[in-house]
Amino acid sequence: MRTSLNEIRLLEDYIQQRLPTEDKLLLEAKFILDEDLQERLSLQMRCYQLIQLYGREKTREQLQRVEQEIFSQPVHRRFVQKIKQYFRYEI
Amino acid sequence: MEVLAQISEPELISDAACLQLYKKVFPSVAQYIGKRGGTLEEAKDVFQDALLIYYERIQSGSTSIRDTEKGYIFGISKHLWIRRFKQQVMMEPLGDQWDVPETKEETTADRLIMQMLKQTGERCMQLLKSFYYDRLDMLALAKRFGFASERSATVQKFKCLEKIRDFVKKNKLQYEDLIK
Repeated sequence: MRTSLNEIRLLEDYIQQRLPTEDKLLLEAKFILDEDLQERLSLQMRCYQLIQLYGREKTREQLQRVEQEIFSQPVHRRFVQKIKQYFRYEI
Repeated sequence: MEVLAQISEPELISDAACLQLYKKVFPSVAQYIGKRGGTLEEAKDVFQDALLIYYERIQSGSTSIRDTEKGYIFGISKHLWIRRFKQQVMMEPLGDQWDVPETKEETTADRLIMQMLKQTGERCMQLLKSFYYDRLDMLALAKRFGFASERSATVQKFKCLEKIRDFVKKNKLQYEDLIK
């Protein structure tokens, strides 16, 4: 892998606390000296956060699709009727 | 039989499995919320959040909860319902047995950058999601995305991460300006 990708892998290992103590301390010393490296670390952490949000959004879309199917398809009518009984006092 | 436990690979839950979960657990949740004056829409919202939490728990390897699927999802739903109405918490404390995580609210900045990412790097986002969110292993990832080997998939994963990172950096100023 090219150098930049190896660095991403190293930062990932650091973020996920997989680095041996010696490598971790060495990298932390580099962060103090190299602001760009520090910025790349922050950006990479932001990426993981965005991936998590993206995944959650996709799962939510799927759950909404299934719910929509249940409440609109005639094949699930009896199930929906049963559910609606629990809310019979709803206006 | 436990629905998600039947999935051999930690892949996305199928629509069919999802439907089974609705049929299996939603009636109890609806009944619980209906009895406490909640509406059908509220019950649907609570149940969706509970399924999302359950799905993420399964993906993160909490296998023990698979054994009590129905009870677990119902427990989360109950907890979420009580959390919605804090007054009820005072009357009916549930304790911390369910340890339901607070879901982070999506910010305007998140939504904007996500929108841009979907337009320019959707495939990379799909690949990264499969690894970091769905927690597919490299072999399954290679298979799903048509890579010749686990090594190619690993390299591509880091390339995608680099692409997204550079994209976020490049557009950081732009979306930060937009939300000011």
